[in-house]
Amino acid sequence: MMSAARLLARRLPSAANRANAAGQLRSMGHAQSFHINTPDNTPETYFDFTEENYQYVNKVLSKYPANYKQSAIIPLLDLAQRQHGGWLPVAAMDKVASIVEAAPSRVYEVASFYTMFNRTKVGKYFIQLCGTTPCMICGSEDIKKTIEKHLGIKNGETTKDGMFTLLEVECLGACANAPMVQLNDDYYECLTPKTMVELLEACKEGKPPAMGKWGSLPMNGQVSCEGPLGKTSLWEVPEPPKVNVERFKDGAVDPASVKAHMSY
Amino acid sequence: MKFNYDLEFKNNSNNNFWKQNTPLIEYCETLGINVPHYCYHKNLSISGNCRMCLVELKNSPKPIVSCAMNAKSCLANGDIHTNSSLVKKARENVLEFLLLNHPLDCPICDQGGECDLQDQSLFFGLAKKRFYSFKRVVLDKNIGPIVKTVMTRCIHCTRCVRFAAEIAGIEDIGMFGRGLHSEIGTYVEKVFQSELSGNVIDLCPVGALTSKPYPFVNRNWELKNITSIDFSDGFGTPIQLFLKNNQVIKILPGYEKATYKTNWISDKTRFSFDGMFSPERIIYSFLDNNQKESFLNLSWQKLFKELFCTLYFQSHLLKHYFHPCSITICLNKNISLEVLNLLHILTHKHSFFKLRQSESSNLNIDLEENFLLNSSLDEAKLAASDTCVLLGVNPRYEGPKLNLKLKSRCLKGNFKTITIGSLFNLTFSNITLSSNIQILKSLVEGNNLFCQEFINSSNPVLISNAEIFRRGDAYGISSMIKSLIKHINLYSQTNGRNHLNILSSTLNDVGFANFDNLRTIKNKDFRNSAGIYFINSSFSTSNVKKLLNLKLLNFFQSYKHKNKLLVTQGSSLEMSQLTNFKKSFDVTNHLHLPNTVFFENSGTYINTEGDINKVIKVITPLGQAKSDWQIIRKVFSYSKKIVFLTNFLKNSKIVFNSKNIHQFKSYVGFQYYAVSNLNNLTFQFVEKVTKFHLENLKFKPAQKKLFKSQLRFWLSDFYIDGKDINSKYSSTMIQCSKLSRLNNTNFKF
Ligand code: SF4
Ligand code: FES
Ligand code: FES
Repeated sequence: MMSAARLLARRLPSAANRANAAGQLRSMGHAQSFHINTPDNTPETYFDFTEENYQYVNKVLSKYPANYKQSAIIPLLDLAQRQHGGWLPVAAMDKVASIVEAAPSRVYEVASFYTMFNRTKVGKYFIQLCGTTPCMICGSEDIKKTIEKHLGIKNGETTKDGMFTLLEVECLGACANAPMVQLNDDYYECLTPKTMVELLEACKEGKPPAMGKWGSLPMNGQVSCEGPLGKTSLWEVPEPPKVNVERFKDGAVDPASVKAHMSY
Repeated sequence: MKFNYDLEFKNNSNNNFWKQNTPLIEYCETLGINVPHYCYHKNLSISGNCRMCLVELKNSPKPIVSCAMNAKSCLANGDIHTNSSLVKKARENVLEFLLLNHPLDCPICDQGGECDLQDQSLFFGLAKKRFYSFKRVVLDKNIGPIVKTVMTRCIHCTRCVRFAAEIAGIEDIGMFGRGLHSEIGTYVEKVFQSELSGNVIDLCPVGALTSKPYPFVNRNWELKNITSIDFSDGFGTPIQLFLKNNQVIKILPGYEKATYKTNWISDKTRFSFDGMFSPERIIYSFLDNNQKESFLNLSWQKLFKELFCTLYFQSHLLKHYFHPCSITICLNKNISLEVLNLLHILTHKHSFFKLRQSESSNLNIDLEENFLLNSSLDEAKLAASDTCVLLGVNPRYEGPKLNLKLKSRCLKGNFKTITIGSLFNLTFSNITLSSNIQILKSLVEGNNLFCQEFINSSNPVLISNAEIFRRGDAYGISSMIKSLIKHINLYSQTNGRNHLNILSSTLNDVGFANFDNLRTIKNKDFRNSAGIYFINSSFSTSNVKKLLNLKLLNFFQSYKHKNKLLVTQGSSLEMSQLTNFKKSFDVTNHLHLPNTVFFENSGTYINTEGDINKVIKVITPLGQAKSDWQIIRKVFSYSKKIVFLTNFLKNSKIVFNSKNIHQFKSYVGFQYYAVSNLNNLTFQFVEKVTKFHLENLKFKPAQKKLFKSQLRFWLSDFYIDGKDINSKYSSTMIQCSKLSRLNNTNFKF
């Protein structure tokens, strides 16, 4: 594996270098498909869920039949990632594997398949910048340059202080409010270089702006995805969908409590 | 093999309707049409991800994957075309995609000439390239000393992943990452630690996984293919040998007699053959008579002269002491029936020779089913049973073939495996009751919790091995087992079959048991005989080692003979053991007769299932080596010439006790002509005692108690510890064993 490590040293930080070297190759937000030992990430590193997270673990497991515990791989990996500062060490995957009684490699497969699992260390604020066509047309290139200049990092890199990691990804489904970034779980939309810098500064102070009414924050003062002309349609309140009223109390969706309904 | 890829499908299948319950691809095969494929494999689950097997179904808007479609439903739905222009186009396009990232390194690829991708590109591929953007780079993984990986060649058929998960039961290989970045590997650096890992070499349709011990030695078309049998365990699985210039180059699984399917073989079968041709092998004779110079490389004639002069001298010398004197021949169980028979004739003819086996065996050999892996382990019968008890046997190492059967039965569900013995990962779920043999008592008495299991079970199977009957309390164990089986039969819904299965550890255990029960070599034999004749260096076995150590306790004060003679007939010598031995027994003359190894021999063996396997000599022996049979026959004819004083003639009758007269006939058939001019022999066939008779007999076993000791697996290191003599000299096996010891320690530093 020595040679592998050396090869990787040349190839990593994977996304950026590979993208440059290969010309057209887009990184697609992807890290390497195998594990490389780093001091904080070896199979022997200690990882265990916290006491209260174990309650969540049990809650998740209780959703599935006892012989299909593997169904809990994704929620548990997510839980582990949240507990471990936004990334998944290989020890955490092993832990999940032992909890769901699957072979470790089955868990590695899942974790390496989904790009929302970071298998290498990321900063406290993990910036996923959308670079797909709508965002690109609306100026995501500028946003990217702004971030790179402001933080002094390239795509796929982490700042020295471990605060930010930048990664260019594909469409995050907020095209109406392009360009946008996803900061950990939160969407910041309708960005301009100026607001992007403001956002970064706010993060540096540890106070990223709170999400708006609809669960995301368009940074240009919009409430939702109404566009630069303001609201032009959907004037009357549509019939609410038939949902379990119990679950949403008085029929109104409260984004804050939606998260609470998701069991983590 | 010739493939019929360009045949059009013709449905002429009124009579083989039952075959239609298979994947379409398999059905086509029965009609003689080959559909190109990568991911589909008969013995693995269907994944349908390579898309190479596309065929056209008339009513379907798109071509269909024939590996994942049921033949019956396809036939009911319209015409099938396996060679239409759509199909050809589809194959061409699939291949183009597969080749986008595949390196064009066939000239330096070990798979070249036997590569599915190469063949099929030739058949269906596009001659030009349309994609120049980039090539994927994949790092090669180190997954152990057996399998070499060149991962850029991988086409992601996932056969190896499915094999690891479903057959080997070691889920270490997986496909990691996704899309463009997906890679086959182990994610963390890990060795594919399975005794079956070599099979992925065969499975991989391209050159991604090839053999590490033998890289770049051959091309497929240079090799001569000969069938033989596996020498490493009791099964004697058919294998195919590939030869080049009188050398074994590789070993692949052969076709099973019953099913005509290839099976999986273990790494030991596949790669331990280099032990037979290792540099440590002694292929020249020598005589060492404690004088200054020893005689190297004597001719066979001189050798025998020397041997018989010594014998003659001894015999006549001893006359004056009035000592009966003898030569003890000590055998290992891996010699063929012919040799065994010849030795028998020899000892019957000249009582000067005594025959002993090197290790004790207290197996009850009255009934054939007492020492066979009975037919209750064939697929249909195993399917009918739902409980299996493994008594002190570790099928994963001792008989990988048995383990595969049990595993596949276990995967079908409703099957419980209860093991008595050390904890071990059998690759399928099992319950370990205890490692103490005393548990048998409580099972028989019915006060164990698990007795309930037997009552609720149907057709339980009890598997044990011949090795546990070497314990001192063997009689106790066998009577316990007998009554256990009786109880099980009483309570579970069975039809009174014998449920005891004995897995034997060497190729010819059953042959030995069928033939006769030899006495074990004892301290007394050492003391009383003028010479000891070891065949196949059996003095490394535990019994002989123990006898050697008795010397330390001054056991051998009174030697009757000076001038001892030691003859070793084998392909290798353990020097330290040898010097130890020589010192303890005052050996003055040591004669080494080089004999041949398994593949240089012809012979007949009876495997643990009771089948006769005949092997033929496939390569000419190295150096001076001669086969055991040739040597013994020479000994025979020489001993006719001299008169031994201590020779009391016995009648020369060969008794072979078997239920199966066919075995006896074929056994005698090949024997008679070879030895008829040596001796007047009568071959006698003793019909097996029936169970009924036996059970009416009342006899008291010698010792009925059970020791309190733990049951331990006799085979702790799969790779080098087996009963076959050569694998411990195999460099590949030594590497494997080192690695597995390293990975199985509890302490990691
Ligand atoms: S390594 Fe070989 S067997 Fe495994 S997925 Fe790749 S091509 Fe298939
Ligand atoms: S393109 Fe950026 S969110 Fe869809
Ligand atoms: S063989 Fe049918 S999809 Fe691979």
